[in-house]
Amino acid sequence: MIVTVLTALNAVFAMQADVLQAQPVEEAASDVTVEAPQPLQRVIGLDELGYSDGAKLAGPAATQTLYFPVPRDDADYSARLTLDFETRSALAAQRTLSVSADGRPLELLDVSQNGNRTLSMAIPPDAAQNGFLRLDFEYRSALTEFICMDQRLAADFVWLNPATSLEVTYRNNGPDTLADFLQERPRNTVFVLDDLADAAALSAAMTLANTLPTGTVSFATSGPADQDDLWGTTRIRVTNGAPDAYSLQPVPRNGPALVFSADQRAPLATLAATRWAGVQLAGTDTPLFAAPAAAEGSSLPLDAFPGAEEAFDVVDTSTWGLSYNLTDHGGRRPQSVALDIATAEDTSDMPVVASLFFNQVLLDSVRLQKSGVTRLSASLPKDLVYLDNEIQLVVQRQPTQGECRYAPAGFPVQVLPTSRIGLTDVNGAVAHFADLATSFSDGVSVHFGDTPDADSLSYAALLTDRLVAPGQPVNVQTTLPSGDAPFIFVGRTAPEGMTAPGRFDEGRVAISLEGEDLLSFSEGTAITAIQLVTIGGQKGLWLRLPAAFEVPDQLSLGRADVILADDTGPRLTFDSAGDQQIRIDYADRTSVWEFLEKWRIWIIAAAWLLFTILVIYALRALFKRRSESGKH
Amino acid sequence: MARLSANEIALGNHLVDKGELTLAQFEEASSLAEAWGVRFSDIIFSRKWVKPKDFAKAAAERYRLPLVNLRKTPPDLALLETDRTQDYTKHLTIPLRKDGDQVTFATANPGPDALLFAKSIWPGEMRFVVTGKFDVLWALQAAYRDELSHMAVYDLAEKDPDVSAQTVITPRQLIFLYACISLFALGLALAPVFTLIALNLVMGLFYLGNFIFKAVLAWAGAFKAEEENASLAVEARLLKAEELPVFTVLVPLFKEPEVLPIIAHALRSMDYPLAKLDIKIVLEESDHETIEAAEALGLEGVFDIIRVPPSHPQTKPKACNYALRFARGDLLVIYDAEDKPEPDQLRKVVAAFRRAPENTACVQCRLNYFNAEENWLTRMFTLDYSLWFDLMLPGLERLGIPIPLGGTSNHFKLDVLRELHAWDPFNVTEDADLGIRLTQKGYRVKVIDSTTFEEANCSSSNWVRQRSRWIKGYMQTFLVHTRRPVHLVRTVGLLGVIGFVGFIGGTFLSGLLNPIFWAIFIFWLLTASNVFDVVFPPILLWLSLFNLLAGNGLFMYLCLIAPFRRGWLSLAPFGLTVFWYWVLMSRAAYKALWQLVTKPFYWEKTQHGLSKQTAIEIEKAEQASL
Repeated sequence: MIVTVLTALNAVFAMQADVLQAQPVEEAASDVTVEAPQPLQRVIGLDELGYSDGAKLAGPAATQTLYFPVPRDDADYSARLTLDFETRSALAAQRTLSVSADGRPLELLDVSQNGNRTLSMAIPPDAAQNGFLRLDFEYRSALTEFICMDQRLAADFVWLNPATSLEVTYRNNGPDTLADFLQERPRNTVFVLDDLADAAALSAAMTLANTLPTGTVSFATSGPADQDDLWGTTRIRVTNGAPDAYSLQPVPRNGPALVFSADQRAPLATLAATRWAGVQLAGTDTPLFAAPAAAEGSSLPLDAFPGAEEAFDVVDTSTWGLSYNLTDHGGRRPQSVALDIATAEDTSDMPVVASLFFNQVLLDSVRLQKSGVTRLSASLPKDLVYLDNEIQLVVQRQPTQGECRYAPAGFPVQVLPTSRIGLTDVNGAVAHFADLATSFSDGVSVHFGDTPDADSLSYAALLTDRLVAPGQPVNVQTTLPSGDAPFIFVGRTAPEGMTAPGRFDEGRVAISLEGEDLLSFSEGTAITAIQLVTIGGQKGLWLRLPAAFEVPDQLSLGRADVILADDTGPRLTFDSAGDQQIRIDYADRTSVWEFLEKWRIWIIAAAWLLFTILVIYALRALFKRRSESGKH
Repeated sequence: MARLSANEIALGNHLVDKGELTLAQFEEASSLAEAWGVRFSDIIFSRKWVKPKDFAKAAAERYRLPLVNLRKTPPDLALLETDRTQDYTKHLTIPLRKDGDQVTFATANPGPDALLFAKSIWPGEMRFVVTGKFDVLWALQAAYRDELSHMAVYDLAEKDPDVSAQTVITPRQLIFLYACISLFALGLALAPVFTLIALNLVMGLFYLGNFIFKAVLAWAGAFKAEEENASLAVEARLLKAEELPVFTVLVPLFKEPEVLPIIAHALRSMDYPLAKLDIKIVLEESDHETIEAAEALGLEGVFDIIRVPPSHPQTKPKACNYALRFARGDLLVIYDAEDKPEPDQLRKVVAAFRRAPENTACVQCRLNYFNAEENWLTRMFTLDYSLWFDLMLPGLERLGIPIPLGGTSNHFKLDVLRELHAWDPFNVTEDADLGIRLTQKGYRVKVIDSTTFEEANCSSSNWVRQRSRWIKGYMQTFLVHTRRPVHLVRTVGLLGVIGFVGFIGGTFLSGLLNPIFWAIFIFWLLTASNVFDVVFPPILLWLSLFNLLAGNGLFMYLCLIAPFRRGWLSLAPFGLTVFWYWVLMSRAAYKALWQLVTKPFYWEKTQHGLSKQTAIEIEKAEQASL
């Protein structure tokens, strides 16, 4: 029996590596192991919960709550928390970190010493409810009047590192119902293609891929091989056949795989509905192709953003923020923000000032009413709206100081639910990638110039994930785009009638900025070109993939219209209309313009020389005539 | 009122005795001659009561002097002095031959006037012979043929070469142009984007300046006082006949015999004593067809036919220069053969000169067309002329900017015209050039509200020919007067220079540049290409957009309102189609540029008589003369 004991750290690495080793689902299924079965493990890291950089707790009293998906039945698993954190403070003071499960204290840690620590603690399975384990982390900085220093000087914090994870050990072979599967599945997903997958199946797969709420999505012709006994990847197999229903196919020494055909909209819909679909069970038949939850009227209330209404303490400075992704909101653009900010009564007469930032640009700043609600409204400049937008409210309050009579204390501030984000459907000109979120709000067609393969599908899925609203159709087609609908074209050669900022399908390319080379590549270089293009007045994307490439983990599609990327991500991103100093040279081109550009100096010199000769000739004639008339 | 001389009375009686003249005619002629202060003979010639040759015959009989046919007995060239040509013409007396100490004079005006004139030339012994009026003119033309022909061509070039277009471009100008183009080439080589943006900026500012300038002109022109026009008309009507000066009318023609009756009829219809008109039908010697047609018309004795000997360049200004030598008036005007001046025009001109400052040397009347409604082109041409003469030129006058004179109906003081060596025969818009020269010499040009109606070109090819000549002439004028930029500033002032550059330079430059910008705009519209984006940074894009919309909108608006002053409302909607007119204008501009290089002095002849309305006018004129 081979027993693999995973630490929290190598579990993370294992998750990243699992896609590198391919093993067909079918083969795995037929590969009946003779080894004694080991308990199946699932490691849920902070990045799966949306905290890819970890979570910070700072201030006199800070809390952080995390929900981990676990099996619904506490008899089916055991769990262990690996707590990896860093703590720092500029001043020596008593500081503690308490960990609770479902409100029951588990540990009270003394974190007064600066440094990194890793702890492991068992979690009682019965602390979970409805398949979710709630863990609360509470950090307290016990500053006293003897230490008479406030948070600004102490700057103390506890940082829960991304390596923090919950290790769930199954007592069986993992979930056996769709509801449990959906709830417990790893966030990284691989679509395993049937060799006979047709456009309809691929369309269904792409739509589903775009709908999955978090994690990476990729396509493969065979299932990935996880490390034995570690369920690190969700496998979904798309078939051409028409099985009666979806099915969970057991995979030895791994979590099950989901099999479905293109016709099965109901399970797709369930999958697509929400990350927490498992809570609602599979019976909920939410329409897949419904528009995303529309904002009421032309504004979006704050309750559309979970957690945004929570009150927060302000000692000296606190930051409240929310993210607005255009794609997640059907391409509707934020055009205004109106925040109702309530402040607690403060006897100190110290003013409280709130500053509103949009994508790091200060829009407005107001002094909050001493007690009551202050409305802070601002219009959002159109040019500041990106694909991912950050609204930040920085609240500052000068704490009472002097003679150390009072310990620094926070006063609660809350952004009230009456706050709203004004939205508009008006898109205007599509000039940048970000603008496509509106164009693609009702779905998009992905046209493949060549037969789509797993890698090109993966790359296309990366784009649709960023630009197409969840739940909207992504139709795969093997015809060239005609320009009558929003499109993404995946192909090596530009179709007839396409206008693109750059032609990277015409041989060698050299891109320079004021004479300085930025990027040079040729046909053999593994450079992927993504451009905002036009066919018949319709804007779309052209994804030109090199012969060999790897799909980068992520791609930022912002205020640019050309991205040249390699396996690691973008190498060069620019806006062809705005960055006019950028020059693209096509060494292999033979057009008249290219010829003129290439020989510009010589042509000008020749023309000037000819003109000079003409001038000399004319001057000679003039002087000759003058001389003759003088004689006359 | 000058009383008739005894000689004239005696001669009149003799004509009555001979039956050449009725008593009533004699009395009427006598009273008119006295009232108008002209010769008795001028009256009877202008009424066609007696032909000049019959008059000469009668005079020879009356005075018992020999009658000489100068065509058979030409004068001794040694006795003729070129500088006296005008005096010979005025007194109709020339020295014929010399026998010892005695000089024989031939006169078509026997009497004390001829005697005094002869005495001023030859104080010694003299005798007289009688000849016909046309014999005197013919003899002078024959005698001075080569000399006057040379002067007609080279007088200005030899005496004031700096303002002659004989040299198209001076070495200094050529070197300046060369330096500019070299600098541009260097810019294109080293910093092409910056250079093109700079060029684009200059052109954008030029367009903007041009639009603003034309708008200001139209505004200034529109405010010219109507009261002044009305009072001028009244003053013109009140002028007495004897106060009216002799008016020389030059009518240059070339190969257009069919339209001659129009001007003849129009001149007869003028509210001006015909006897005080010195009308010169100026014809090329080789144009036998028109000469024959003119002779066949049987015109009154006040119509002289001037035959211009062939020489290069064969241009209208050269012909006028030649004819000018025989002019005997105080004022001079040029009309085209198909012109129909308003009947009171000459009176208005006299009145305008009387009330204008002493340095006013020219009065420009307005031009417009009698066949405006013939087709689209004539309508557009009429709008163009209405804008030009009714708004722009009055605007120029009001702002004190040099006025490029129109082709006809410009009335000069003859002495000033001679002082300026008349027209530049090498400039194909000699009138525009003369307007600038007048201002440079300190003279003023006045624009008055009197219109001469012409035939608008109704054929686009003919129109392009005519317009290309005008634009080429503007190019010549621009080159001539920018030879000495400092001198130009000193003589016409800074505003004058701006006006000159905007009005003369702007006219042909916009014609040349428009197609380039149109092509860019259409290419961009059709392809949505961003190839030009690099030379259109935002501020330039806005400037160009403003020029495109506001500038062209302004021109369109001006075309719409131009005919309102004349009440020609039916023409106004055609102002919206002015874009196609500009296309024709650009075609003409490029043709002009090409000809400036290849045939700078070539006179692109405008064919007249193509209009149906012209045919009607000819018929009317012929019926009236019957």
